[in-house]
Amino acid sequence: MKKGLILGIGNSLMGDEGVGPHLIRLIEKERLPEGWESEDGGTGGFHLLGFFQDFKTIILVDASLDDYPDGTVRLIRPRFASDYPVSLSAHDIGLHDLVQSAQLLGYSPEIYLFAVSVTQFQSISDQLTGPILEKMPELATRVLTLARDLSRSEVTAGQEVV
Amino acid sequence: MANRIVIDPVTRIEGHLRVELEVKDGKVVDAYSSGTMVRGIELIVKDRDPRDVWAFVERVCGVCTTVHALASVRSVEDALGWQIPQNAELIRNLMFCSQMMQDHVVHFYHLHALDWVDVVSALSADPVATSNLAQSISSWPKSSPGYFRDLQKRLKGFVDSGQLGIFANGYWGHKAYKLPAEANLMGVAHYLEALEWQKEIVKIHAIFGGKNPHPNYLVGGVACAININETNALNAERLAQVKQLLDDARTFIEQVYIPDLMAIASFYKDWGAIGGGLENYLAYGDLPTNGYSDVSSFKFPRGIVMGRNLNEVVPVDGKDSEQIKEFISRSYYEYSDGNDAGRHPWEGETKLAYSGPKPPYDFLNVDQKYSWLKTPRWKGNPMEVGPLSRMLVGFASGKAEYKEVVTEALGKLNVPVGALFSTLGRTAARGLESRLVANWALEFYDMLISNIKNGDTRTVNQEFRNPETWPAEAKGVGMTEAPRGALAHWIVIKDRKTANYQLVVPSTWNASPRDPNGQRSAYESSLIGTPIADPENPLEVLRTIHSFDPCLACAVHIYDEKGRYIHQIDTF
Repeated sequence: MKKGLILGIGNSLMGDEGVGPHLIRLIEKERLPEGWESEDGGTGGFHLLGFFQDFKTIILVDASLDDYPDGTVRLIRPRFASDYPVSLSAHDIGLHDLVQSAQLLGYSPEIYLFAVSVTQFQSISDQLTGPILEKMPELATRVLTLARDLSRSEVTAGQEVV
Repeated sequence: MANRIVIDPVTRIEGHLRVELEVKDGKVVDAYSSGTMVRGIELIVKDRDPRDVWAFVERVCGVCTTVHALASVRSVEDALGWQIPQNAELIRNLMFCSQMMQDHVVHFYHLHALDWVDVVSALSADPVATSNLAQSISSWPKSSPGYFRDLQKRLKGFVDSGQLGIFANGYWGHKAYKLPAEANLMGVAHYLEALEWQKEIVKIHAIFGGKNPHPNYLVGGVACAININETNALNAERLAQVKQLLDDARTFIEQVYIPDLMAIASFYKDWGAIGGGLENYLAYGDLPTNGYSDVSSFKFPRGIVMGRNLNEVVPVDGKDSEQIKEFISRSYYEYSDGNDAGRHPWEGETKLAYSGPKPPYDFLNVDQKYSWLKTPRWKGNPMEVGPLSRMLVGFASGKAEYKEVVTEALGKLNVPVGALFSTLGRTAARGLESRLVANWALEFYDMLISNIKNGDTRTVNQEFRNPETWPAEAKGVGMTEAPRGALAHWIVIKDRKTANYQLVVPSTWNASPRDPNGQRSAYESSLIGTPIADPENPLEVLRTIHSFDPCLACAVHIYDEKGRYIHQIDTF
């Protein structure tokens, strides 16, 4: 089993909904901890199921539709599919189904989710808007720091961290 | 007086679809299908380098992640007269086959089977009887009483925990479910096995395309180099892995998918007379074996079956401005030459003009514009696209392979040829072509290996690499078959940039609103006459809609808020 994966999810044609894939592009050239990988999951749905079997730990990055201000970044430890925030993605077959399918099959990677609040209406664009763009360096740092901490086993499973 | 039923959103599909039905005396008497999200991908690729467009259009959907890229690179190659090496064609074919097999299996088990299989009933099945049933229809090894007993225990755990999850959107206990408990348990077992299998087959995309989802494509060839001794190239080890995955795919389809399909179909033969709808079937065809320009070499032939006449295949030409046209008389768009005009995609326009009711509303104004989908027509005729169309065009072309699988299936189910034109026929055609594709994939693999052994490792043609060699203006069309039907991209290149780009996708053909002459498209047409046992739980409607494998993500595209599409409308 592989150690850890940073998985960015979202549609990079839909403005801020693409924050996950944008983040992956940002950290692509960074040095990840030994045994860690990063992947642009796009709007992959069932295509991503293999990752849930292959990796011990997964850090997900996804846009979230919630009542927080734009660009709010929350780190969540979801246990059930219902713990995941409402995704912006226009896909019925999305993260929820993926997570539930993984559960049905008995795959149980440790999951950390960076949920980036995106409340604006998105229009077709391959660019992020201002509030999200400003947060990207900080988000990248937090994601990489978590990966490094996890690889040193300094963080153990807990409730919502921030 | 007919009652109006609204299903919005239709679940277990990709994208958002709303269906409004008029029901009288327990039957659907009229139907309206509406795409409730807007499409705008054409706008994002304008002025881009045509060679980069595939990378954008591929992102339009996470389900058929490869087919849009294929249609796009082909459209550019077609515009410039750019031929690709045979190895590139074979590798594209192998990616196509993997995509189609994965998509069909996922559709059957994860999006469609629960219309026929009652999950809750599976809890009361006898594991020994289930084992007997499984062993009577297939040699698939996972069929012992202990296997089904354990599975049932797991399933019970999920139901008891209240985390029924992906099984939540079902009409469990509906009287239209007819399978015995054992068949339901077997169906659920294979639901889980199919999940396991599908995550393996998609690895072929990562091997040939560098990543999955959204693998890499390349105008002029494929984005992988063959070198059987090189670590970072398509080497002997990776090719052996592809072979293993293709062998496993054929085994899964032959031993699990097809026996399940036949077993389930045998309990639902009445659906061989329901859901037929249109009588015209269009396929662009694909899987060339002698270059994309030699249509006669396609494994999936191109053409049209008109009026269910299986003795003739009518040719289709995507470049003829009088054949394929899109209409907007019932869609939220405007054309510069009026509401009733039809436009060939090369002259296509994408000007949004929402004119529907202000939300929240109960019903659409179905007498006016009522969808974000445009309405494509071939010489003015509505067409069904998808596995059934491919199967019928193949059958009518007289190809022996098609005759063989179709005749065998009809014989096993003991139903007449007419049963093909139905909801059941659509669902069966998807399985039957999966069998064909599984075998073709192995043929393509052998051809690729044979080329490599003979020293031919070319995967790219660099002929038009320098845009200076391009004409000032060029037009192309890239046609393919997405798992859910005929897909084409039309490109106009001016001064080495993308001047116009239009997609006509399968669900646009099938799910579109009426045309200026009031003719229904495939979904609307197929729902007429559908029996509705319980208007509160219109399971029967889902069966027919799902039999098309709707995927609205590329037909129409923009977000929704919290699953309720109506909030978005007033932003336009």
